[in-house]
Amino acid sequence: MVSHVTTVSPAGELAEPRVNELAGALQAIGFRVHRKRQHVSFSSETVEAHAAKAYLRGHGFRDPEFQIVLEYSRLWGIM
Amino acid sequence: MSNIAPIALPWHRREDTWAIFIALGLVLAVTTGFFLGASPFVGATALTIPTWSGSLAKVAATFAAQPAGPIALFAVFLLAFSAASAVIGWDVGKYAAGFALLFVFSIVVTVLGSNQTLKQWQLETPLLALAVGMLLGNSVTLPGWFQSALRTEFYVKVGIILLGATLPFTIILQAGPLAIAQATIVAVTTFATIYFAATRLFGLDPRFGATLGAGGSICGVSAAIAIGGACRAEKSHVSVAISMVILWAVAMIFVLPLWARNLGLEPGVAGAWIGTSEFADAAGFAAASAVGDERAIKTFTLMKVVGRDMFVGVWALVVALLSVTIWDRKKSGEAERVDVGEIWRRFPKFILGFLAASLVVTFVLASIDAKSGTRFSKEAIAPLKTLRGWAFTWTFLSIGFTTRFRELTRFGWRPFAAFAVGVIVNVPLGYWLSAHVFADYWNGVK
Repeated sequence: MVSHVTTVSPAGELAEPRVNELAGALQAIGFRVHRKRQHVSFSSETVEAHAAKAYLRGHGFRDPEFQIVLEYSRLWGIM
Repeated sequence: MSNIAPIALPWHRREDTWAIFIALGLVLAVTTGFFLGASPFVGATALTIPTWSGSLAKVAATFAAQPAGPIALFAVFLLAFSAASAVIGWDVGKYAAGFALLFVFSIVVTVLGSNQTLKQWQLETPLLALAVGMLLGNSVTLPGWFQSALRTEFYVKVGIILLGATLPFTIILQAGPLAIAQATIVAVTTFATIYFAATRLFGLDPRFGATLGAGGSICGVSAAIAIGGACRAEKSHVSVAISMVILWAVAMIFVLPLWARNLGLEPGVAGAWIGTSEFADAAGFAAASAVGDERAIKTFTLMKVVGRDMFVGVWALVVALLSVTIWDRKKSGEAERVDVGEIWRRFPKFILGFLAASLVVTFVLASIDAKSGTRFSKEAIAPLKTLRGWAFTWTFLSIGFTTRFRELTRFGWRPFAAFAVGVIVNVPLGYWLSAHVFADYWNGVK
């Protein structure tokens, strides 16, 4: 009934090597990279937000190091 | 604001943007037409079907008197919707073909719904459109090109913005605080009821409970989607919450107007009750229209759009904070960051169009003398009301055609039970507040 986009961004003042580690970890599970001015973010239409969070925690990232935004969209025909 | 890059659809490809362009464009075109003396041309687009009984002679005479009416109505909306389709990225050819058939259905159900006998049986256009749609949608396989035109949310947003033009901004300002107060009482109570029933009684995940609670208390499917996203609920849980909303919303389209009539409620009170206790905008408009009085539609809109829909962003922020702290068992310093941009990200943007339409018409009426004001109401506001009626008819047909009951029954008994507990609280509470606590106010909305 819905499609989704999970977006992950580095949060706070994350050092560049750590951002690169985040990028590597997310790209390994199919996240795409988006760059806009100084900001970088990663998105996926297949990995759900809770799975992405569990995965990042499992790879040594702490919650304050990233920010996840999950956006659902209704598919055709939903009231 | 957020530092998240905009990965979702850009603003010009969003349904809300085009609903605003189309409806606000119509409001401005009709207003300009009035001042340029082109009202007869505008009036020709706003096709009205008279009430008839016995033979169809009266309807045939109406079509004969304004032969260009149906063509003009069809052409204006086909052009507008096709332009939107092209930019949004829908298949324009399929959409146009589908809309042509939907338009024919809308003419047929409006003619039938204008029959005196059917009106006496309370089977006016809204319920008839729903019934026809549900009957065909659940018994016949609809062709793909027709399905592409069944855009319930798009049509209802166009209708709501057009409705803004018939609702003076002064009424919105006066009713706003009361509508917000009533909506907040009911929304908080219902959300808490469903959430605690889901998590404490039936052992569901808190995010699932919050998504169900949002669907049952804030603004239906849109809330389930917004809150499900804000608290990172699982996709399957959001789908179940949507099924719950649709099932109950469709049932309430028939139940609430019937109860309101049997209880002898005044239209203003009935509309406020429906605005408080219906679960989705489109379904609520069908229920409020079924009351058969413009006052019900006005009080419904004040309650639903101003009182409930506007605050989904605030709810999203609160639930997102709960999600990363309490439900994740983290202290604020250890939790994932949530920013206030959440409020704007989840805000239903079409409401800006609704408020702008109301402001435009209120400003025009305040700028001209009383005699011109009366003429403006007749030559500009009345046609807009008619165009709004057509947008809602396409909405109701689309609800009917897209409500597939077989697809809505894939859920467990626990979410159903949690949602049902919320309904048991929401409906009587909405009735009590509308018909007793704030009745004088709702009866005063003209």
